[in-house]
Order: sequence, then structure tokens, then C-alpha cells
Amino acid sequence: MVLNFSYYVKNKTLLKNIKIESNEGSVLLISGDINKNLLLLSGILCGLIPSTDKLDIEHLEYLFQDYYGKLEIHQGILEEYYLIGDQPDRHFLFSMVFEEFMGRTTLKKENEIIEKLNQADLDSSFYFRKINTLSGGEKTKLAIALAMSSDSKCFLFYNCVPWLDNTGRKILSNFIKKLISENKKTIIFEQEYDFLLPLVTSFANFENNTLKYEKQHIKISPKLYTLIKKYKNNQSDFSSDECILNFKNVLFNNYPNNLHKIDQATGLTYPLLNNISFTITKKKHFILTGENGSGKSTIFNLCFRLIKPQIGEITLLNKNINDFNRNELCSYITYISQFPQYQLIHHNLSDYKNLIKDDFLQDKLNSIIPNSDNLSVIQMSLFEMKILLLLSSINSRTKLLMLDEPSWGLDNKQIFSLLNLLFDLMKQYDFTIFAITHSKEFIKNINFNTLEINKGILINET
Amino acid sequence: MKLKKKLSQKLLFIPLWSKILYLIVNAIIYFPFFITETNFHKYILFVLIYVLFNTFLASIICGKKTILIIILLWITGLLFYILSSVIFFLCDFAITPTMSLSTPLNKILYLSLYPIRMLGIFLNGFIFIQILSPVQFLKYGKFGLKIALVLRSVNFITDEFKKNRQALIMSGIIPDDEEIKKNKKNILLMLKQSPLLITLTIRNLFLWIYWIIQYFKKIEKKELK
Repeated sequence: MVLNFSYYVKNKTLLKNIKIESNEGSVLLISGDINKNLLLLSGILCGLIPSTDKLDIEHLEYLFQDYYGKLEIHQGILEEYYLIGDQPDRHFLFSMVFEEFMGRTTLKKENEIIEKLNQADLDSSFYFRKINTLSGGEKTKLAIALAMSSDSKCFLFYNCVPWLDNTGRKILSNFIKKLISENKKTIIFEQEYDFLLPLVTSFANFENNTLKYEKQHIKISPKLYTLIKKYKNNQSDFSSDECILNFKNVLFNNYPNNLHKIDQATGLTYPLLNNISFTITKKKHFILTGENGSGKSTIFNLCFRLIKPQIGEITLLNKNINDFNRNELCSYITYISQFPQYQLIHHNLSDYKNLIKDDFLQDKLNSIIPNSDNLSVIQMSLFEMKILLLLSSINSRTKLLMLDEPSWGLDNKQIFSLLNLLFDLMKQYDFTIFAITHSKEFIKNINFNTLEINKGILINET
Repeated sequence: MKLKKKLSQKLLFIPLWSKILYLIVNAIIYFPFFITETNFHKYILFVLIYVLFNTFLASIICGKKTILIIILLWITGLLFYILSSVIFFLCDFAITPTMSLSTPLNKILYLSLYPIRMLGIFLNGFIFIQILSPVQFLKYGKFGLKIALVLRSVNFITDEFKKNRQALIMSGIIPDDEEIKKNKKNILLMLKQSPLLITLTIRNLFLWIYWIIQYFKKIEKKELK
């Protein structure tokens, strides 16, 4: 069955002759650019765009105008896909896990809901958990568990893989296999899709505002390999023994809402972080990786003294982090969140241009983000927000750059630009990188040192 | 710990009408139009015991930390209240329109009852919010969905506020709790940056509001089928 449509906003064509070929039991993989138009495409397929009722908020019309366009279907019927998205918070309608099931599915009994949770690698303790206490990966697993309980005939997965650990990826893959066996239609919008390739029946590439079908998938941009190779060659003689960050026998046992983590296999409780020790030296960049809920973000929170360890010591530049005042600590460590909108305190691009005094940073900003000063922060893409935050946060005192999921939500071209910028900044400002990521592709290509954490224990350092 | 958790979980499932009834009963208790000067002392004793019981209940349901913060805020407000009530008392202002208080002791007792009732209202409000489950409203059609959407929005705003606060602490823009305790100047800095926190929370709400409305509309469509 073929669906062919275009989407217009104020006589501007945002999506042109989009052809969706999907049959019962088929899996269509769409990769390529991640931009506003791709979000519109997924929104249209899921029946969320265009909306008929206008949100009448004065002066803010421009924010929502793309969602009230004109959809023209040239061929076929638009079926509503069930969405499993990249921002789980956007899709949850209630505040507790059991409420999501009771409000959105036909499951009402506790044991039925727990069974579904178990299928998505979430134990029975999650039944009464508040959604805001779950990690991003756990939220995505919950979204998959909810999808498993849905009676929909079509499913759309939108960039949800970066949230998932190995177990989560296996669950997703098994769920898609089940959808195929039940003759349901599946569309996957992904950048990281290697493990899904055996299930895919057709490939398409999204570029600008059109969709092009291809005989085979296109892997990571060759430009990225060249860039990383160049960087590795330049980096070889730089690393030194100067200690930037050190964790010594750190134990942390405070779990949200006083719940203790339970090992599903043994039923025993364990601390969130147990006896964590590692050292980050100058120019020896690290990537922190591990299963969902394993304690990665907790390590970042400890570095910023948002929480304190019960046992152990954390030092920055050979000085206990408790001895720094907040301004000093934040001038030595620059933090770039996975969701930059929380840190971007000014509202327009022009505000940031006035704020950035350094010519080098100004030039970088002008070359990456188009020169439209009136551009508001909330109109920016995730990539633009990340770049803006990075350039406005880096300074000559920065010793450690902490990045939370830097490649999350970005396409290959954007990852290339971000890495290119990071490498240039490293040359100019002489800082060390400490990043959290789930992206296997990113870890494989960047070839930084890796710290792997599982159930609160550091299991691997390479 | 397990008992406390079980209690708050069980309360989530009690019927909605009983939760609304709980709210109405509390409104009657804290806004007593029926009391006179003769039964006034019994009422004070009852309210005192009732607020104490509710403090205990709230500490189980909402957590000791939350209650401690509420009580600290209440004490801060109480200090200002004492100042104004001294003026009220000395100037002999009418402090209640519903009854006339003949003795100074009764006036003092009535004035001291206000903040206790206020604490009770806050605690009961918190208990009510904690035991309220939006799912229970869904069977009431469009109206129920609207209530669920409002509750989700309140929940979202609270979460966003916390996330923004944490991100701003990590950026060194606002002080953390420990720094506020160490140096009182940081209280001023925190107060100065509070409008920024609120603005950012509202800005992030705009990024989310469209999508959540569409989702609730989807549920509405499904329910109407």
C-alpha cells in the first residue's frame, strides 16, 4: 500500500511528495537528516499534525505555525501510527508508571501490568515508581512496554535507540520481530540501526524535505572517519599525567524516593555506586557508558556536588571538590546537558552573540548557525542549541568538558560538525573531555578511553 | 518503610468520591462558620489534635523532608504573622466576622488559631495531591480528561522546574542548598535568579504543551469511539 502526501505551511512546501510504501509485516527504515521537517513527517504519520484547533496564545503563534499547515494526500489513506519517540517525557500522560497503563491500555490488573513491565526489562518495583524518577533508558523501555500493550496495527519508532542499552536493544528487536509475525506495519526513523538491519524490508533516506528510497542503507559518513583519523594523528603526543578528575573508592547509596536498587536475578539490594575509582588525566579523554540506570548520571551529579558520596573522595585538579566554591567549580568544569534548553538562559541568538567576546568562538558561532539574530532559542534545532551552549560555556579556565549524550538526537552530518568543533576547541582551549554516551557507533569511532559501569560497579576501563 | 510505602500506594486506589469528601470535610473543619464563643475552646483543642494527626499522616505520605520544608516556611510566615497580629490585637480590630469575642484571652486564642489552620490547609492539600490519581478522572469523559491534563501540566511544570534548577546549579548560575546554608548572601542571589528559573520553566512548557494536548485529544477520540 502506498501513501503519498505533501505538507504546506503558508504556501511553503515543508514536505514534498512523501511516498510511504508499507505493507502488512513490512519494516521501513528511514535515515538521513534530522530536522524540523522530519519531526513533522513523523507527527503527520502519527496523526498529531496538523491540528485543527489552533492554540491561541498571543505573540507565540510563530512557535506553533508549522503544526497548523495544510496536508494534501495525493494517494492512499493515512493510517495513524503508534509513536515511540525520542523524548519519552513528551508522550507520557500521567505521573506514575501504573497510571500510564491504566489510562492508555486495556490492562487494569497489577499482575498483567507487571508482566508487561518484565517483558521490557523493568521489574515489579517499577509498578509504583514515579516516572520522573526513571532514567531516560528506563522511560524508553516503559514506552516500549506500553506499545506492547497497544492494539494498534502500525508502529513508528522515532530515534529511540540512543536511549537503549544492550538489553533494551534486544527487547526492541524482539518486539519488531513480533510485529512482523503479527503482520503489523513498522516504520523506524533511526541513525543507529545496525542491529535492526536484518529485520528491515525497505530503506529510505530523508534529505531536506523529501524521501528517497534506496536499494541499501548508507552507513556513517566517510567524512567522519577522515576527521577522526586526522584528530587521532594530531593527538598522539599530547596526553600528560596531570590529574584532572579523580574518584577514590566512592560509594553512593541514595536512590530516589529511598528505594533501593534490586538485582532482578538475586533479589538482593545494592548501592547505586559502589567503590568507584578512576582517574582522568589531562588530554586523556573518557567516555562513560553502561546499562540504563547503572549510575552514569549519578557520577556526573557527584562531580557537581549535587549529591555527596557516603564514602570516598572526589578531587578536581588534586583538590577535594568540597573545597571549591560553586563559581570556581563551574569555571573549571563545563557541563553540556543532553537537553540544552535547560541551560540556555537567554532567549535569542543575538543575546548570545553579545555575550561571546572571544573572536574564535564568535567566528565558530557565525559559521555554524546562520546569521539571523532574531532566531529564538525555542525555534532552534537540538543541534543548534547544543552548539550555542557549547560556544557560550567554554572559556580559558575550562579544564574538563562534561558532555551528556553529545550525539543524542543528531544525524551523521550534525555529529560530524559537532566533533569537528570539539576538536578545534580542544586545540584552542586545552581541556579534557568526559562524556556519557550509549551510542556504540560514537564510542567505536571516537576511540576515547572507556569507563563501563554496571549495577553501580565499574566493570571495565579501557 | 515498607508499611509507609504500602499505605501511600493503597490510598491512591481509594474511590475518587471519598477523596473529594475528604477535601470537603477539611474545608468545613478549617472554615468553621458554626462555632460560637461557648464551643470555641473545644474547637481549638480539636483543630490542634487534628493538625498534629495530619502532620504525622503527611510525613508518611509526602515524606519527612517535604513536611520539614513546609514547616520551616510556615515558621517564617508565622514570624510576620505575629507582628501583624500584635497590631490587630492592640488596635482592637474585629478579627472574625462570624462571632464576637468578648475576652482578650479568647482574642489571643483566635488569633493563634489562624496559622494553625493555615498549616492544616497546606498539609491536607499536600495529602490530597499525593493520593489523587488522574486516571480516576478518565471515566468522566471530556471533563475528566481536562482535569487529567491540568494535573499532568502541574506535574510537568514541577519536574521542569527541578531539572532547570539542577542544570543552572551545574552551570554555576544559581547556588546549591549547601552554599545557601554556608553563606546567607547566596539567599539573595537565589532570590535574584528566581524569575529566571520561572521564565525558563514557562519557556520549556511551550515546547511541550502542543504535543500533550494532541495526545489527550487522541485518548478523547478513542474514548468516544
